[in-house]
Amino acid sequence: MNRNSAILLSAIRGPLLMITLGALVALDYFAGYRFSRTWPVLIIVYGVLKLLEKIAAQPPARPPSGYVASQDSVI
Amino acid sequence: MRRGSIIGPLILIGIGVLFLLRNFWPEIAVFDFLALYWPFLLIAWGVIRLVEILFWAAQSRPLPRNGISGGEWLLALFICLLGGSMYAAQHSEWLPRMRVWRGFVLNLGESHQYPLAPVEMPCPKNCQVVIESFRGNVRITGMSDSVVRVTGRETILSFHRPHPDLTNQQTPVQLLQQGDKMIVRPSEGQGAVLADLDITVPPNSSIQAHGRSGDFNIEDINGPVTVDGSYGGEVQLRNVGQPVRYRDPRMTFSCEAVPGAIHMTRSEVRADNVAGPVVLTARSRDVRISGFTQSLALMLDRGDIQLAPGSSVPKMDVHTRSGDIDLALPPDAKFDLSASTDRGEVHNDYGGPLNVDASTRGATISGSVAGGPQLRLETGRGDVSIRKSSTEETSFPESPQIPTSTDEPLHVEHQ
Repeated sequence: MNRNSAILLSAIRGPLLMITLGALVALDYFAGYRFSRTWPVLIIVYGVLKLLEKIAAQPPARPPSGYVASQDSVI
Repeated sequence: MRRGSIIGPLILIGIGVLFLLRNFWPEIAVFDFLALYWPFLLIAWGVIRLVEILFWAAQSRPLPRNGISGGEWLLALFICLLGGSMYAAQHSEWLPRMRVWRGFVLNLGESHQYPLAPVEMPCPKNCQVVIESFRGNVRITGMSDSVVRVTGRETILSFHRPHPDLTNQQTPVQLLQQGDKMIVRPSEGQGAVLADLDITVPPNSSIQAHGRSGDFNIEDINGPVTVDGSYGGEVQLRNVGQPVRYRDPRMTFSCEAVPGAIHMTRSEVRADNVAGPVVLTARSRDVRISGFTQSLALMLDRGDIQLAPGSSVPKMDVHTRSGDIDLALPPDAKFDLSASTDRGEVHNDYGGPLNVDASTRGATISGSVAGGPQLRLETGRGDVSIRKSSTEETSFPESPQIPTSTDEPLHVEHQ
């Protein structure tokens, strides 16, 4: 986990949400799971991706001296 | 679109191809297909973008902060709205409420017209015909016959073509007899159905119509007619021998008979040769009535009024908050007139017996001949003019043209 993976996670968040949205509507149309009931999945996916980003943006376990965590966090 | 992504060009190409297909090969029915499969567009979009980003990451190229920009999300939202509307129009009776959006969505799909299988049922004397709320137009005609007969066609605005025979079975017009009442119930089937009904009834029937949209055209009925609902379309009445009651959220109208014709639209009411007492209350309509008898009570919030009573002038009580009033009286009429405007001018083209009294803002005009009926005209803002009607002006020069739907014959296959 490093800063690059945080940027990557941030970049793929949109596409993944788009895929989730499409999949939920397709499930509604073809499998009968109504979107009106499955929409919270979108929030969960968004939350999980955000969480992964945060974890990825955490500073290394032993920061160099003088390191200030908040400067490096990408949220 | 974000620089470097192939999604933007792909979407443009896709839209172009879609409309080209629709214009040149309508039989492919691409939008019918899209109505069902549009979610996969979003999935494909997401997958392509995902692959792009992973590819860039593998090549250590700089990555965008957001995989999908705000503008792209807006476009996706539009696709969702359009796709959702098309799907709903195809799979249920739901239609978008917003007129513009509904028209747009329905235009993408195709409409199919089917003749309705004719239905008829004998109706006892003094038949009460009840036409239930439905979407479409209806024409009711009195015929010297003792049956109620419904023919017509239905237009299915949907995205997929049901089998015609199946449609006829699924969505017949129902005729139900409940006591003295004969109920016409056009059932609505799959997709959006617009019905054009042609109903003939025994001439002495009474008519009750509860409508939602579309045009009503009622002719040659010798029983009372009641029409209520909220109409997007027009209502036309002609040759009705008994009281007429009309009500919608913005207007009420009643009279005792219509030997002539009435034409009501959302902006205008025109009537020629109606038997009073005539009572009309409306928010905002222009009103032109000629050849009315007994009495007239007219109350408008806004609208111009043109009146030309017949040879014998009836009692009148006319108010509008804003609008001009024009009254044409026969030269030899008897009346007791008092008309006023709070802000506006008064024109006396009648002459002799009338006196104009103009104050700073408003004006009044009054006068009486041989103690005739009372005519009270009032406008809050507007001009009042009183003139002599010429002999041929018992009806207006452009008297109501009542177009009948016979102009466009119904495609009915009698079986």
